[in-house]
Amino acid sequence: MSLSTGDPAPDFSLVGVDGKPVSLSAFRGKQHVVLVFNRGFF
Amino acid sequence: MRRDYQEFVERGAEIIVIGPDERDSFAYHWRRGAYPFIGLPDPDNAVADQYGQQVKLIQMGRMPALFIIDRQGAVRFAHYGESMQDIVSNRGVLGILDALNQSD
Repeated sequence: MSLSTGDPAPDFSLVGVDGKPVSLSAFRGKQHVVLVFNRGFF
Repeated sequence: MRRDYQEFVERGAEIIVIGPDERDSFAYHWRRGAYPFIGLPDPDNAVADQYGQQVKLIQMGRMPALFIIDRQGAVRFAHYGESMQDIVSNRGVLGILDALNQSD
């Protein structure tokens, strides 16, 4: 199912390369998030 | 995006890159590139599927996708790439962030 403008962004939690868990909800009220999938290594 | 990272920071945004690779492989590339943003391996593609990332069997892979999520947790921009080259330019993303900040 694809997402459209105005939809609530599904929350997620994954463990980062530094071993720390990162969840989308941690950015709420603080920062915008640019979420990038498969852009290749740039 | 690494080159323009400071411009994202100035607009109050964090970049999170989610990759389909296994943890070790992802971490290897990530460290080699010394990327300043957040990198999250998603080897089960759980988050990619949650976000509806396109999978093209004929091209043997997962297509690029990019989302801009505002501070309230709402999707303000969604792009699903039709090919590996179909990505949004940094300028495009920065322009959308500018518009978001103006409407705040």
